[in-house]
Amino acid sequence: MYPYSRQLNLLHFIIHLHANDASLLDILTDDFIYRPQNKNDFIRSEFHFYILVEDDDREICKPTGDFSYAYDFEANLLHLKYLSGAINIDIDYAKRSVFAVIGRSTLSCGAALGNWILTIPLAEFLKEYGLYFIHAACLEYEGKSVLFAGKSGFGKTTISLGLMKKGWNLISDDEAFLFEKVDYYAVGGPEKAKISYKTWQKFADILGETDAFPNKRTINLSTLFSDKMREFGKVHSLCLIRKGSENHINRLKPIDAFQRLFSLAFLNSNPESTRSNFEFLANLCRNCYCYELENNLDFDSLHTLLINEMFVYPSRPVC
Amino acid sequence: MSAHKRADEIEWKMFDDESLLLNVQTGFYFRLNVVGSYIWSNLDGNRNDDEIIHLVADAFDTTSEQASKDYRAFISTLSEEKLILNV
Repeated sequence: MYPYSRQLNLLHFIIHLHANDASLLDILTDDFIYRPQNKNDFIRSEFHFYILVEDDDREICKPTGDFSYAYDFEANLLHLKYLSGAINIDIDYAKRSVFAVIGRSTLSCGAALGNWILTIPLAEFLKEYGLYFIHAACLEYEGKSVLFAGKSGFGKTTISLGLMKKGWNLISDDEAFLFEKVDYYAVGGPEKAKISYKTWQKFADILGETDAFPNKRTINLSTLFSDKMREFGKVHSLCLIRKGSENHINRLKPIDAFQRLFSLAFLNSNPESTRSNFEFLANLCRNCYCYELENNLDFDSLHTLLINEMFVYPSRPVC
Repeated sequence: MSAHKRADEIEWKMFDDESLLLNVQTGFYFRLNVVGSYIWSNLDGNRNDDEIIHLVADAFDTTSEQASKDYRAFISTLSEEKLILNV
C-alpha cells in the first residue's frame, strides 16, 4: 500500500514518511531538510506518516485558506481538512502517527503540502515534548536571540539575510521550535529558504549573480552560511514585523504581543495541546522584551536600531 | 440569588490588569479590559452576582447602580459567547 518511504531527522526525533507516490515524497522532503541529530543524541520518539495519493477529477489545485478541523475526543484523533476535502489528515496522538489521503490534483500545491501534511502534524506531536512551533525567523547577536514573527511575505528571510550581513547569526529563517528551560530558547527548523529574484538581487554579493527567474528559488542556508548557523539560542526579544516605509520599533505590552503572536502561531488542535500552547506563548511574552517592528530593508540602520533599542536602552512598553 | 462561573473549556491569562480568554474547543479568543478582567477573575462560582457587583463598586469607586448595570451587560455578553455557566 505504501511502497515508497523516506526518513527525516529533527533534533531528537525521527520522522518516517510512507507513501504510494514517490513524487509526493520529493515535494515533502525537498523543501524541508530538518536539522539532523548530533552523533550522540538519544532518540526521544519516532513518528510515522502514511500518505495515500488518490486519483481525482479536480482541476489543478492552488493553496488556499480553505481549512477545517475537528477533534474526536473518544479516539483522540484530530481531523484536518484542506481544499474542501481534497486533503484529509488524521493525527493519531496515541499512535504518534499521521494518516493522510490527498487528491493527486493537490500535488500542484507544492510547499504548502509540506506545511499541511508534515509541519502542522509534527508541531502537534512535539508539543508533548515541550517544543512549540513558531512561524518566525530567529537571529542571534552577541548571545542574545531575537524572534522575528510575521506572516509569509512580511520579510523574515530578507531580514535574516540582511542581519547576517551585519554580523548576526542564524538560528532559523522561517520556522523554529521554542522550549523553556528556566529561560526560553529557540531551535532551528528547516535550513532551506525560498527567495524571489528581487531578494536575490539585494544579496547578490553573498548569493552571486544570476539571471532573472520566476517565482522563488530555494537556497540552502546551511551551505551558504555555514559559519553563521547556530543550533539554538536564548530568546531575548520578540519582534512582530510589518512592512513599512521606515525603520521603526515600538515596545509592546506583553498582552498586545501575546494577542498578535497568538493569532500568528495558534494551530487549531486538541483542547489539551491548545491549552499548553496558550500557556507557553503567554509566558514567553511575559518573559521577553516584545516589540512591533516596521522595516524598510535598510539593514545598516535596522541593525543599529535593534542593538540600541533592544540590547542597550530598552524603552517602556507603549500603552 | 443568581451566580455564574467560568466555563471549563475557557483558558485565560491575566497580564497586569487585562486578560485574554481562549475557548480551547473553538479557538475563538476574547480580550477583556481592566473591569472585565476583575469580574472574570471573580466568576469562580463561590460568589453570587450581588456580591461581585459590590466588589466591583468598591474596587472601581463607582455606585452600586452603575456597577450593577455594567456587570449585567457584561454577564449577558459572556453568556451569549458561552464563556460562563449559570450556577
